Amino acid sequence: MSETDRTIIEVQDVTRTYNQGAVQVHALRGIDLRIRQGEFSALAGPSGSGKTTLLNLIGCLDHPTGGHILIDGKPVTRLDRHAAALYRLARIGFVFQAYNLIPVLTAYENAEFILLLQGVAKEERKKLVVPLLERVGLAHEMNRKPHELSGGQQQRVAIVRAIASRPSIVLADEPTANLDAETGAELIDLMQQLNRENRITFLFATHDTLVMKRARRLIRLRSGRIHSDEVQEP
Amino acid sequence: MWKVAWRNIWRNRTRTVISITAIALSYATLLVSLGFAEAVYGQMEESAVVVAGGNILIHGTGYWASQSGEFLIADPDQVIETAQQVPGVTHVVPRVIALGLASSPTGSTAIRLSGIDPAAERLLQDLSPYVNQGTFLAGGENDPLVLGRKIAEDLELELGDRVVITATDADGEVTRALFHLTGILHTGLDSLDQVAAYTTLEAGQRALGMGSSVTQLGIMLERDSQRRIVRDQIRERLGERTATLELLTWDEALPDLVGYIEIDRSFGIIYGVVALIIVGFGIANTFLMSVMERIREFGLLGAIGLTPRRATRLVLIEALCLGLASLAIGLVIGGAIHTYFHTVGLDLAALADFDWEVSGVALADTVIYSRLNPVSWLVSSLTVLLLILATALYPAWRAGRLEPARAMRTFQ
Repeated sequence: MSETDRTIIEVQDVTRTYNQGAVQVHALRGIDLRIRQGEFSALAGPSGSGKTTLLNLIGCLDHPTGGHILIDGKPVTRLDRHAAALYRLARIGFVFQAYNLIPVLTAYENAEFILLLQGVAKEERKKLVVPLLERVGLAHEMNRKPHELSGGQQQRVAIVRAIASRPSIVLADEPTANLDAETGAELIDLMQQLNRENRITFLFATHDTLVMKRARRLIRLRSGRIHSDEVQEP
Repeated sequence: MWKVAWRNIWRNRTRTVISITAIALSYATLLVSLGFAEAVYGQMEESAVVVAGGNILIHGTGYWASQSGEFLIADPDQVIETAQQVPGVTHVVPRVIALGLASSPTGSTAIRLSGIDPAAERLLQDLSPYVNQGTFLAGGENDPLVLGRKIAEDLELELGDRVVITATDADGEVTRALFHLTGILHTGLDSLDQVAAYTTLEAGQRALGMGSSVTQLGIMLERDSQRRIVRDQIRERLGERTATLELLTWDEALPDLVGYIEIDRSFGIIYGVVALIIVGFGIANTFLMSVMERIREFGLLGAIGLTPRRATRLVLIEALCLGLASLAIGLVIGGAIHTYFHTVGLDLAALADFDWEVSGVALADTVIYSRLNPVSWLVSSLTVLLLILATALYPAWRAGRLEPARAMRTFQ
């Protein structure tokens, strides 16, 4: 099996039900999905379709009510909170819609934070983070705090933080939702380049048409089920 | 982690300044209170050594409980010589003590007659500055007697007047002796001015028909902290002689004073702890608010790999940063006040016009100089720091328990 054919994420008949008082909300109703290493995929669908829930389950931020999730062939659905945090630290980069950064840290400190948690030495962190920040056009903003950066700049810092530790998977939940179209397109370009160069698997949850268009694979969810799953031509 | 914690506590500058000020002032107050308490207790203990008559006291067995003149130390020279050979002993002071009546043509009053060696006694306490009429057993007088001011007033005595002392001798017989008033003592302390009567050792022995026996040997030490060890060593060296002798350290002789100090110290600790707990609740509220305000951020940190244990540790480190900053400022404030009162002193008499006397022991000087015992300082500092950490335990636990997905969903 070639490197590109290797399944990195495997979702097997996953359900997720929330109890809201006496009412049960079925956020996911039996999802089966395989994502190969190096894919640039997007989960799309209207609000409440279950895309963020699925992303959270793959990222071990939540537990499924039923079914299994395997990353690199290993089950991760029953990890306790400590093990799940360590797993995320080692394998997964996250980019969220907003409030991605730690307000008291500078752009550089935010970008190196995961490496710091991983125990990477200071010099090594610098070697990894500075080129990436330069690459995303933040060479002169490294010492700025998040409130001194634009929304697009903040998201770029979040992307650098997500990929600096060379994770296998980057999960991005509506990363362009708070950005204007031009900035959003720039970010997608950037993530696509990083995907090509570093073979990092990107999985988005989005309802941004631009992200949907640029994804190599578009998985549409509706009412907690996969409605369609298409490979798109570049 | 320390950098993040330090910056986190300065997110809400006003709240942090208020918290640090509250802790620092409480800690400074604690240090100053400790300094004064140690000073008063220390001064009381020093006074107690003087009032008791030495760091260690030797009597005939049964004397201290009964204060009866029948319990004597016969042949005291051998005991004195033995005691003086024990390391740490500086002086051994012999005394004759008797409870009795002083009489003049006007009337009678109860007294405590002490026959002393003035030169030896001066090494423990020099009363001569308090003699405002006559002299304090200066020598050359025949059957000299120095009385407390109140006694002299009650008996309408003047210098040179004859005073008859009635007491019980070693055989239990009532005996009378004639003395001449050579000095009037005015210490300002009721315990001395109302009952104290002094004569020379020889005159006392003669008046009470004691020969060369004495009632008490007061032993002075280089260091009071060694009193129990030295007492045991003296007892060991005296061998069989101890069968007829009792050896007491000053705190064994004055248990009321020791009890008072212990009770007062306990109350001081209780007040201090209550005050700190009140401050602690305020700080706990601050920490809880600071965590609740950052629930989404803790969710984010958890999502990117901060383990629950590390989240808990982060909040505890924030508490530690706040605590250390507060202690540093409190130490500067408290230390400055302590240093001032350690150097200049505080006159308690100027604060309140009452008798600074407990269990018959008065402060040697009403001006007290703050003393800070390093152990007390360390214990109080650690207590404050632990209290601050304790107040952060619940918020820290909450931070560690947050589910990242829920934390981010709820507060997005």
